[in-house]
Order: sequence, then C-alpha cells, then structure tokens
Amino acid sequence: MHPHSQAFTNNYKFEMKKISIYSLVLLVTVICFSCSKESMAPVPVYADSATYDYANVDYTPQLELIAMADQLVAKINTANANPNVVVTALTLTNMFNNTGSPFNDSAYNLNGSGLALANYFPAAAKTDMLNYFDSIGVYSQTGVGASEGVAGVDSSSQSHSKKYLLSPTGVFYSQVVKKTIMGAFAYQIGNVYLADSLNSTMDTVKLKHYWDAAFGFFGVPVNFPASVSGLKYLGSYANQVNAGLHCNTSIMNAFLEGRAAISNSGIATMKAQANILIHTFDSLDAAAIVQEMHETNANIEAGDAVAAYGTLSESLGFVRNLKYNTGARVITDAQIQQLLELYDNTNPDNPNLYNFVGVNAGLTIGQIEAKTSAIAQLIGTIYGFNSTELANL
Amino acid sequence: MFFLGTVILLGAINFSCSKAVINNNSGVTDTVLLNIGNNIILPSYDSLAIAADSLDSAVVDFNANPTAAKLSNVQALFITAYTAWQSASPYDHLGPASVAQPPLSSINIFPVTTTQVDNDISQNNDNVNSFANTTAKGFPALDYLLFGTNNTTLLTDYTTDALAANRRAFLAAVAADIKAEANAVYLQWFGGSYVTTFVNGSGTSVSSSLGLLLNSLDQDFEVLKNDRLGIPLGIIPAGSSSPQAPTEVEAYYSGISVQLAVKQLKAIQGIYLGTYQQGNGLGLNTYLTHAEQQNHLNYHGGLLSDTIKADFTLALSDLQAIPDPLSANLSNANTTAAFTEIQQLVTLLKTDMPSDLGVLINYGDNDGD
Repeated sequence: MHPHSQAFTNNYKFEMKKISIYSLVLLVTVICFSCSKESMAPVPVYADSATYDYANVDYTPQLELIAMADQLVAKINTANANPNVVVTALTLTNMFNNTGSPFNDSAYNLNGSGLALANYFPAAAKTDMLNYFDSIGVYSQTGVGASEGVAGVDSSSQSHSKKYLLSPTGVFYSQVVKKTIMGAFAYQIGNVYLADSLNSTMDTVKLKHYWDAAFGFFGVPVNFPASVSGLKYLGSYANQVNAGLHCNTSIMNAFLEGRAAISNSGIATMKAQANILIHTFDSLDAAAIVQEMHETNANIEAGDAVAAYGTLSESLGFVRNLKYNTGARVITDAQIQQLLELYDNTNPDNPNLYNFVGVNAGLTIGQIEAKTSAIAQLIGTIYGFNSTELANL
Repeated sequence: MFFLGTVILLGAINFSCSKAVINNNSGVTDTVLLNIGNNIILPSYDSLAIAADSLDSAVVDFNANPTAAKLSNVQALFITAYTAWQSASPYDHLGPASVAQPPLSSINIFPVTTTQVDNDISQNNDNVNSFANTTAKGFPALDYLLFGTNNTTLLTDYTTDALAANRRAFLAAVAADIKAEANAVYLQWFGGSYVTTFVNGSGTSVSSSLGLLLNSLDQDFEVLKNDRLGIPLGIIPAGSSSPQAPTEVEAYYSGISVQLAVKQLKAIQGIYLGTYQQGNGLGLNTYLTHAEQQNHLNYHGGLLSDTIKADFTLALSDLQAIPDPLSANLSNANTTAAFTEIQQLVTLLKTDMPSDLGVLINYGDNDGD
C-alpha cells in the first residue's frame, strides 16, 4: 500500500472527527511532457497551503536580523571606494553587537529591537567575524591600490566601476563576511531551530514559532519559488544553484509540509521534514562552492583577475561555513582541510589568491581552471553530485 | 458519516515540463536541430576555420618579407576572419567551443590591453595563452597589431624597428593561435561528429541542444548589447556618471565595429529564422510558432514570433544606419536607437521566448552576491 494512503487510513481510524472537519487530500499533480525523475516530488500529506501564509506566523526578528546583515555588508562595501574610505573594526563590531544605535531605522526598528547578529552566530563563526572586522579595519586604511602583498583597492577589468578591497593575499573580505552570515543563518536553521529547539518541546505553539524562525532565515517571499523576488542570502543561493540541486521546490515543500504537520500534531512528519531541510541546507552550501567555481572560470576566461579573486573569496566563505555546522553534515573535518588545501597547499587558512590565479606566474587558463575543477570535483565526490548536476550548479 | 473534500491541485508546473514542442524525445529526428546543426553551425565553423587558415598563411607570407602590398593583404584577410567569427560566436557556450582549453571565446576578448601586447613584444614573450594574455591575444590583439597606427609606420615597425623581429614573432603567434583554436573546434563538429550529438540532443532541458543553444545564443546576444554598444555608449554599467568609452568598442583600431555587429545580428537573426548560411528555414521560429499554436499563446494581442521577427528587422536597420567607425559615432542618434531596440529584443529572446518554449535560461548576471 502506498505509504501516504496508509497514513491516511491510520488517521481515519483514530481521528475520524478531525478528518471529517479538517483534512483535505491534496494531490499535487505535476503535468509534464519531458520531466526528469528529480521533479517527481514526494506527495505531501498535511500541507494545505501553497504559500507560507498562516495565522499567527511571525518571523519578524529574522527579517530584522537580515536587515542588519544588509547594512553591515553595505558598510563594509563603502571601503571599496577609491580613494579608500576607512571602515573601522569598531564600527563593524558595534553593528554586529547592535550597540550605540548603529543602524538606519527607516524600515524596521533595528536599534531598539534588542536583537544582535552576534547572538545568532556560533562561537567559531563569531570569532572569525571579529577577525574579519579587524582585518577590514586595517586594510581600509592603506590608501593604496591592491597588489600581491599589499592590501588595498582594485577594480574589475570587465566593469571598472566594480571595486574590491583586497587583503594582501587577494581575499575580498566583504564577501567572506557575507557568506559567514549565511553560515550563521544556516546554523540557526539546521543546528538550532530545526534540531535542538524542535527536540525541546511538544507544545505546538512553540514548535510553530521555531519553524517560522527557521523559515524566516531562509530569506524568501511566502510564495517562493513561484516568486523569486527579494531573495536574501540562503534564498538567493538556493535559487542560484537550483538548476543543479533542484532545491527551490524541495526546501519550500518541506517548510510547508512541516508547518502543516505541526498544526495537525504530525510530529513524525515534522521531524522528517526537518531532516530534509537540515540535509538540504548542508548540500546548499557545498553546491554554492561549485557555483562560485563556474563564476571564477567565467572571470578567468574574461581575463578579469580581480573579479576572480572576488568569486574565489565567495567560495572561500562557503568552504569555511562547512565547519560551523556542528550537526548533521556530509563533509568531515579532514575533508574540509583537504578542500582548503586546494586553495593553497602551504597556507590553507589564509590562501594566496594571487598565486591561485598566477597572474605573474604565466599560468594558462587551462592550468587555472584545473584548480577550480579540482575543488568542484572534490565537492562533487563528497556530496554525491554527478557531472550533470555539477555542470548545472 | 464524513465528507471527504478532495482538492486536486494542478500545481508546480515548472519550466522544463509544461509546454509541447516539436523537440520532445519521441525518437524522431528533430528537423530543426538537423537544419541548425548541419546547415548553419557547421558551415559557420567551416568559414571561420578557412578564414583563419588564410589569415595565418598571409601572416607567414608577410613576415617572410614585409611589404605594403602584403600588409594590405593581411589586413583584408583579418577583416574576413573577424567577420566570420561573428557567426561562430553564438555557439561559444555549447559543445566543443565551450570545452576547448582555452574556450574558443578566448580569441575575442575585447578591448585589447595594448600595454600587455607591447610588453610581450619587448620581452619577446609569445606565450599568448597565459592568463596575463587573456586580453592580449586573438582578434583584438591583431586589430592593434595590424591597425594600431598608419600603414607606413606599421611597415617600419615590422622591418627596421629595433623590436621588428619580436613583433613579427608575436604577430605570428597570435595568428597561429587563432588558426589552431578555430580548426580544433571545427574538427570536433565535423570529423568528431559533434554535429550528430547536437542533432540528437532533443528535449528542452538545460542540457538539451535547444537548451544549450538558446542559452549560448542569448549570452552572445547580450555581448552585442553590453560590450559592443552599452559599455562604449556609457549606458552600462548603469549610472549617470558612466562616460562614453570609445576605445572599448570591438575592432577599435580597424574601425569596423558596426560592420562586425551587423554580421553578428544577422547571424543570430538567421538562427532564429533558420535561414542563415545554408539553412532551409527551420529555426527557433519553427519551435516558437508550433508552441504558439499548440498552447494558444499570444503576446500583447499578437504573436511573439511576429514581434521577434519585426524587432530583428528594426534592430538591423538601426544598426546598419550607424556609420563606421563606431568609436567616432557614439553620439549618433542611430547608435542609441540601435541599443534600445536590441535591449528590447534581448528581453524577448531571454525571457519571453524561452518561457513559451519551456526552456530554462540558467546563465546569470550574478552581481557577486
């Protein structure tokens, strides 16, 4: 018997009244002529809405934290201007801790919200963030153009108005910070809300609250993926890797199904959906690394070293995120180390991106792309992405 | 007694599944792909390879004994080859061109970095495929090497100048590289039978021939909008303070920018209509009109296929009205008109048509999010 109709029968036997009043069996039928296997999603049992639209849903704190993150990153990016604008570590730390009214409050009451990004970061990520702020504070004061061994600002050769504040080794910390923020949000979703929090109570009101908070950090509109406007952080990347990971619908359906399951006291289903989400967000970070390798290749082929440092830095942020996940993840610590060594064998914790691209070493495009390919292939092997999926990420 | 409400939701009709097209894995050869592969793409690569061969021969001949006549010959064959390139570039992101190392698109990364070319010559460095030479190789480098100054000065540069020998060697390396890359890709299509792979790649998925072709074509079309027009005009990147950038046009030194852009637009129009090169008329328009009939689609009360055809004609006439050299005519009203028309056409080719065909456009203009 089909597992879902078995569940229905069980429900019917023991909760007839509930069924007669509440339950609707929804058959989501995907009509297609040339659908691949991946698009045949599991049939939901509880989901009674195609959008994340419920009574009493509230994830305003998460939206506020996202707004804080946006302003923090924007502040860091002011240091990309030429001549350099100085951004001090103190300024960034204050925004991170929400002290001294550092935010523009026009959209939300951020300064008086009592929320701080710092409180949502796991310890390792928080340490890294503060180190990044220190570095940005130092680098933004050099007042010179960037070159190997010298921090400063450089421009994309494809688009001269796109400027990057680079470290002495060519790392674009603005993007590393932005990706670390995504890592913190993913940590909250996968290690806190959908794990410890769900396991801490049977109270459906609290469970829904944790579920909503997790959804809030995903950064998508309630009718995602029908709408892909205003995507933030994890939501933006889910959409960017969707062609290879097929995650837009699977993530959204899991959120919808789990939320509805809670309403119907379907705790087992809720946990199953949580499990799907935890694993998908882990894969999402890995997939994003591969996506950045494609972007790096495009920059290399266009002769744009600086833009390549940018996309390599983005990928580096995603790689560093993997270790913040202290719960269920596919990649091991040893494999993370292996991955970092592909960026820089001699200095994996602070890779020299000038060497990676080898502008002065006469590397050919082929030699550089062999390096990005090695990174993509390792991720593919560890996470089980086949060559088609890797190509489409 | 209970009432079971059953709601059947017809939902989640995603991009790759919903619309009927000819190209549907039925096992029957797709006649559109057959035409495009055999009669359009293959001849385009053939023309490019032949032109690259002739150009290389002319360079070798010139280098052996540089004369004014031979210089003119090289210059003419450069124009022929650069023009042939314009109808090969739509396939840059599909098949052999995209997996070549370096990818075939590397023979036309413009604008050239003249300081890199000069540096290579002074250092006698002929490694045109180093990363540093990404914008100092291919057609843009030849454009500078063959038209960088007047012919009299050029001739002395290649004969009596202190660096003449280095310059000839570098010229030879650039031309030889174009020949090698063009031929390698052509052989994959012809001898390597990629054309068979292409013709058999039915369906509308991202890895189908239609999916790859549409993505590749759209990306190439955006190069027309952004790099050949938008950036020189100062419209791209967006922002009121973007000044015009005449030196960033394609073929700045030879002054044939409009001629090349017209060729590219004709090539893309020809793929759409299925008539380019030796095409028999089965093209993207065939798929689109089929989809329009099958699914009763309309576009603002008319047909998208008609709008696209009309817009191609309009864009072409706008473009043809711009006098060369483009670098001196950026303020010409026809230039802005051409840009605007092409911008609109990009939307039709990148959003509306793929949607109607059920094809996902999956290359992004990701802003380094």
